[in-house]
Amino acid sequence: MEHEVSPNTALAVPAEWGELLLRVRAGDEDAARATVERLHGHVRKIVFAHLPRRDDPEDLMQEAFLKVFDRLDQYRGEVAFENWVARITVHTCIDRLRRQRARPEWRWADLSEEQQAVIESAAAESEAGPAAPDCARELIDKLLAGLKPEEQMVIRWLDLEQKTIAEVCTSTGWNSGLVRIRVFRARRKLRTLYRELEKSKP
Amino acid sequence: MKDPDRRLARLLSLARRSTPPSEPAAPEDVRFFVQRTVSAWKSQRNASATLDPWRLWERAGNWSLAAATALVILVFLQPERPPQSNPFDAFGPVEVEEFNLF
Repeated sequence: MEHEVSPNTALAVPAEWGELLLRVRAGDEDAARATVERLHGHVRKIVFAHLPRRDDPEDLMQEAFLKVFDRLDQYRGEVAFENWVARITVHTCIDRLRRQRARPEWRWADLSEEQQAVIESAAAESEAGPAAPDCARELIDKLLAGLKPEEQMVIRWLDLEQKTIAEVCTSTGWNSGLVRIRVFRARRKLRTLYRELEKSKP
Repeated sequence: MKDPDRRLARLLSLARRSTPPSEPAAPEDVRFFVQRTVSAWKSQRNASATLDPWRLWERAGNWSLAAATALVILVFLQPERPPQSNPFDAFGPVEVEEFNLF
């Protein structure tokens, strides 16, 4: 079945995407292929940054692309097409995180020896080994699993990737007030989880 | 700043130096992914374009069942109304004379 293409809705779409998106909406497979090729790196970066490492990123990327194609009729060009795609991808990640949220509580005994050593070195403010950054990242990922998906995302963006609030607003469609509230709550929860982890140390 | 908070801040700054989780994908992986995604999109479009009569019948059955259940629940949840009084009861029983017109 061919989709009806309204020329009016295409007017606001940026010129570099306009024709390609019209062809995708009309069911053109080559255009769909070209769109996925152009956006692959962009979507992949978002998914890899926010998905728990054990999950299948390709599966989630495909889900995001199918949503993009499915909702193409709703794109009016208010934001750059890449940002619109980023928002759909971010919300796809949030949905996935929400579905698999187990809210685990990590205790000292659950940590690997390397992770315990990283915490010890942070406590002693001594020089960390070469593997420490990756180990610290794993540890932070574990702690973040105890937060809501939206809270995990703002911590990753602001505290790990060091993005600005304006960039987070662009990628999510949330307003700056909401981002500030979420990051405030997320940092408070993360501190509580970390203190509990330290308290469980024998 | 309290000590645990300071240690957490240190962990976060260490984690920032970790290797990025996404390495650029190999071109053949990208090609395979693009093909897989476009095939999935195509089959999704085909599935929505073809009207499966059995699916339609099943959907109609589900809607009828839902409507019937809602109706039954509504009827059961209706508060029991007291019998309505007849406004002419106040006049008492009226004896009706029978006329024989013929």
